[in-house]
Amino acid sequence: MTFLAPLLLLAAAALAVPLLLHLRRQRDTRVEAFPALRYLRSTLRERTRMVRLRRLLLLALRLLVLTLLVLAGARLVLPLAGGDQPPAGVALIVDNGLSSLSVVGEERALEAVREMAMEAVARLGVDDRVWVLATGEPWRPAPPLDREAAAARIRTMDGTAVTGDLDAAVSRARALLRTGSAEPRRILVVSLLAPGTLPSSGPPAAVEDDTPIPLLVGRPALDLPTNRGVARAQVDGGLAPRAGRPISLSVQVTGEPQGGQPFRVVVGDELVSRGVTDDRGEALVELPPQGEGWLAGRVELDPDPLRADDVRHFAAPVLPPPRVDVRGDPGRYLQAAVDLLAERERIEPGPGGISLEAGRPVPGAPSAPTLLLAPSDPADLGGVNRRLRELGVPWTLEPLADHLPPVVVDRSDPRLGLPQGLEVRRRYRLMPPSNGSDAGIEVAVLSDGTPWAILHGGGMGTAGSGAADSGSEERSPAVLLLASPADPVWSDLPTSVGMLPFVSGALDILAGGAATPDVVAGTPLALPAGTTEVEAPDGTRRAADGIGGFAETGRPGIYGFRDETGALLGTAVVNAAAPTSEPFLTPAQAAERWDREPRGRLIVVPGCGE
Amino acid sequence: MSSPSDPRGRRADLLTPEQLAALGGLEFQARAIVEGALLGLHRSPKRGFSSEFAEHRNYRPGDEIRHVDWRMYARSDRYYVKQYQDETNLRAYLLLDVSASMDWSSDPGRIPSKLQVARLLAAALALLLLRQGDRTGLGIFDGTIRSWLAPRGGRGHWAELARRLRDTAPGTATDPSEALRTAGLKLRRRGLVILLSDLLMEQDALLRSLGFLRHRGHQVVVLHLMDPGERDLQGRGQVLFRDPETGDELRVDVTEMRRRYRVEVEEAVARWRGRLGGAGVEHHLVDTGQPLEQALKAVVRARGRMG
Repeated sequence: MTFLAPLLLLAAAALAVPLLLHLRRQRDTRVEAFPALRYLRSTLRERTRMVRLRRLLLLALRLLVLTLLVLAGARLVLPLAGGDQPPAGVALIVDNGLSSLSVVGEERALEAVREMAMEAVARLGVDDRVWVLATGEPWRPAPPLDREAAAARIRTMDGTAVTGDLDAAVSRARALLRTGSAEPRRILVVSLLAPGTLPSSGPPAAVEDDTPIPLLVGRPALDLPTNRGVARAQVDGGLAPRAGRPISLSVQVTGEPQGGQPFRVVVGDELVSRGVTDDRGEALVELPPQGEGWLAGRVELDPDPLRADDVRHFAAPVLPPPRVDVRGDPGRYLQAAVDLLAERERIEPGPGGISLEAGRPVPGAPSAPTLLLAPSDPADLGGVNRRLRELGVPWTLEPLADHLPPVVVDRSDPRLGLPQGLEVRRRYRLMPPSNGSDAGIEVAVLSDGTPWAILHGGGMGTAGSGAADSGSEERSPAVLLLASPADPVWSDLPTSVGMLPFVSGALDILAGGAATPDVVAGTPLALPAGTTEVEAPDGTRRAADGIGGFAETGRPGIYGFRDETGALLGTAVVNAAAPTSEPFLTPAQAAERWDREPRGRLIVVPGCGE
Repeated sequence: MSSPSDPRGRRADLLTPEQLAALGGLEFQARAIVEGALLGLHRSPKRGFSSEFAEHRNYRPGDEIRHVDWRMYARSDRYYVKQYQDETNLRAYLLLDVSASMDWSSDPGRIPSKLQVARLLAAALALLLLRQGDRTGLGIFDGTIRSWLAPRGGRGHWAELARRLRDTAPGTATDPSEALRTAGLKLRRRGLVILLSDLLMEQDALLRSLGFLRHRGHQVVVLHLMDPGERDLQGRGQVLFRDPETGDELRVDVTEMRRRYRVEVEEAVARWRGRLGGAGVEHHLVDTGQPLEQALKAVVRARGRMG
C-alpha cells in the first residue's frame, strides 16, 4: 500500500466531524410536554432498534465516505499483484526529456508523467525490482531499486532539455532486465511520445532470447500546446570568426509559428542586436566586431510554453587570420577554397604560418603546423611518408585496392564541418604507429571503422579520446592528415558544401582554435586533450574522467573545458533540439514500433492517450 | 355589524376554533355555531304543535281549525296555521373528559387546547339539542366524575350547563371506567350519550364502559379530539417528550420518527374507529385546528336516527 500524496492523510482529521455530530446529537435535546406519548411509545417499540441501527449505519457510512475521500486525496494505490506472485523485474522508462518541460495549464507536463509513473510503481509488488530509466538523463546509472526507492527516485526526478531516445532506453531496459534474475520481466514506458523521442532510424534489432519481455506504454492524456524555438544560431556560417571583422549570425526559428518572430541577441550580458524572422523563420544579423578571444552569446525568443528551446546559445573562438603557405599541387578545388578564404580575409596567404601541402611533397618545407592531403598519384606515397616522418608523425599512408566499395564518413570532429554520410570512393590506408603510442587523434572515421583523417602533435586537443601527445620533450608541430586528395574521383568532399568549412576548420584547428561544436542536449561531449574539469553552464565544475567524454549535458548552455591549471582549452555549446511540427505519437504507434520483441506482448494502457 | 352566525361573511360552524375564539365568550361562540349549523340544516328536526311557536305555514285541508292564526288571516286575508317546536322524550348526555392531556395545544398562541374546543363543542351541542327539545345533561370527568348535571330542558338549563363548562378546570389522569359506569347507572332512560375526549386512555377499559352504556340501550357517539400537533410531530431533532398526565418521558428524534409516527397515529385512529364501530359506537374525529361543522353534523345525524 502506497500513498502518492501522503500529506493529504492529514485530512483524516475530518473524520472527527461526523463523530462529534453523532455524539452531540445524543446530548442536544429539548424538553416538551406531549400527551400522545402512547402513540410515540408504540412507534418507538418498532423503530428504536432500527433507528439506532440506522444512525450507526449513517455514522459508519459518513466515516467511510470521508475515509475514502481522504485515501483518494492521498492517492492510495494498492498493488495489483497478489502476495503469492513471484517478484518481478520491471524496467520503468520515464520520459523526463525536453517535451516534459512544456507548461500545460499551471504546471509542467513532467508532473503528469511523474504521476503516471508513480501510479505504475505503486501497483508493483513489495518484492519487485525496479530499474528506473530517465530518458532525459541517459548518462545516469539505473541500479535495481525496491518499490519505495523507485517512488522516491521518481518524486525527485527533474526534467532536462535532452530529447530522450526511447529506442535507446528500451534497448537499455531489455539489457538490464536480462542481466537480472527476477521473473517475470516487463518494461513500462511513460512518455509524452514527442516527435524526436523515436529516432527515424528505427529501433535496434531485438536480441534473441528465450524469455519475451512484455511492453506497456502509457502516455499522460495531455494536450500539449504548439511550440516554436530557435533551431539555429550560427556564427560566420560555422567558421571561427576573425578578430576585428564584422561577424554574421544566422538565426532560424522552427516549429509553430516560425515567421515574424522577434528575437534578441545577447553577447555576454549585453544586448547587441535584435531582429525578426522572415516567413521561413530565418534571419541574418551582423554582430559588432570582436577582439581576439571567445565570443559567447545567445539568441532569445519571447517565452512560450516550452521555454528550453526559446534560447539558443552559441560560442566561437575569435582568431586573427592565420598565415597559410600553399605548397605542392593543391588541385583546383583546394586552391579555390584557399583563394576564397583569402578573399574573405579569413586567411593570409604567405609563408611563416601553416603549411598546406598536397600532391608531391616539395623539398625544404618548414617544420610548421601542416594540413597534409594525400597525393593523387600513389607513386608519391614514399615522399609523403618521408614528409610525415620529418614532421614527427608516426602514421603512414599505404595504398588500398581500387575496387573496394565506397564508404561514407561515419563520424568526424564537428569543427571540421564534414557532412555526415559524405561518400569516399578511394583513399589510402592510414597505418597507425606499431607501438601504439603517440597515435594522435582520429578526427574522421569511415563507415568501415578505419580512420580517414588524423590529427597529430602540437599539443592541441580535439574531439575524441582525449589522448595527449607525450614521449618527447620537444613537441612536434600539429599535423592534420587526410587520407584522400581533394579530388572528386576520390570523394565527394571537393564538390560538397563541406569543402570550405573543412579547409577553414582544419586551418583553424592548426592555428590553435576552431568553431565550437554545437551539440544537442544529451550528446556526450568529447574532451580536448588535457581536460581535467568541465565547467557546466551554471558555473559548477565536474572532474573529467578522461575516458568517455562528458555525458551530463542535460542543461543547455556553454560548457567549458579546463586543464589542471584552470586554463580554458575549449568550449562546447549544448542546445535543446530544434522543435518540429511533427505530431506526437500515440501509445499504440510507439508500442507497434517496439513490438519486434520475440513473442513479446503489446499492452497499451487504457485511457492514456489514444 | 355582522351577525353572530356570520361574523366574517361565513357561518360560524365553518370557522376554526382559532377564528371562533375571536368572537367572544363560550356562550356567544356556542350560539354562533348553532345558528350557523341550523342554517346548514335548513330546518329544525322536530316541529309540532305542543309548546313553543316555531313558524307559520299555509293552511292545508285536514289541518285543525284551532291552529289557524286568525290574526294573520285578518292582516293578510289568507289562512296560516301556527307550528310549534315540540319537546321530545329524548335524553342526551354530554360526557366531557377534562383530564390533563386535554389541556394541551401544540401551538398555544394559535390553536385552542383540546379542552377549550371540547367545552365549546359541548356548549354548542347542548344548545342545539335543547333547541330541538331534547333534555340534555352534562357529566365532567377525569379520573372520577367531577361534575354532574341531570338532563333537563329550557334556556335556563343551557345557561347553567354553559357556566359549568366554563368554570371547569383541567383535571388529572383519565380513567373513564368509573365515570361512564356511574353515568350509565344514572341514565335510567334511553338516550344519546356523547363522549368528548382525546381518547388517550386504555382502549379496552373504555370499550368495556361504552359497552355497558350500549347494553343499557343508549346511542353513543364519541367525538375524538385531536390536536394537529398530535397527528403530525412538529419541529426537528432530538426532543425529550414528557406526558403531562403521568410524567413519563421519552427521547425521540422527531426528524426520524415523523413519518412513522403519522402512520402509527392513523392506524391508532383506525383502530379506535374499527373497535368502536364494532361495539355499535359511532366515532368521529375532531381536529381542533379545523371547523366544528362536521362534528355537529355527526351528532345531528345520530340524533336523527333516534327519531
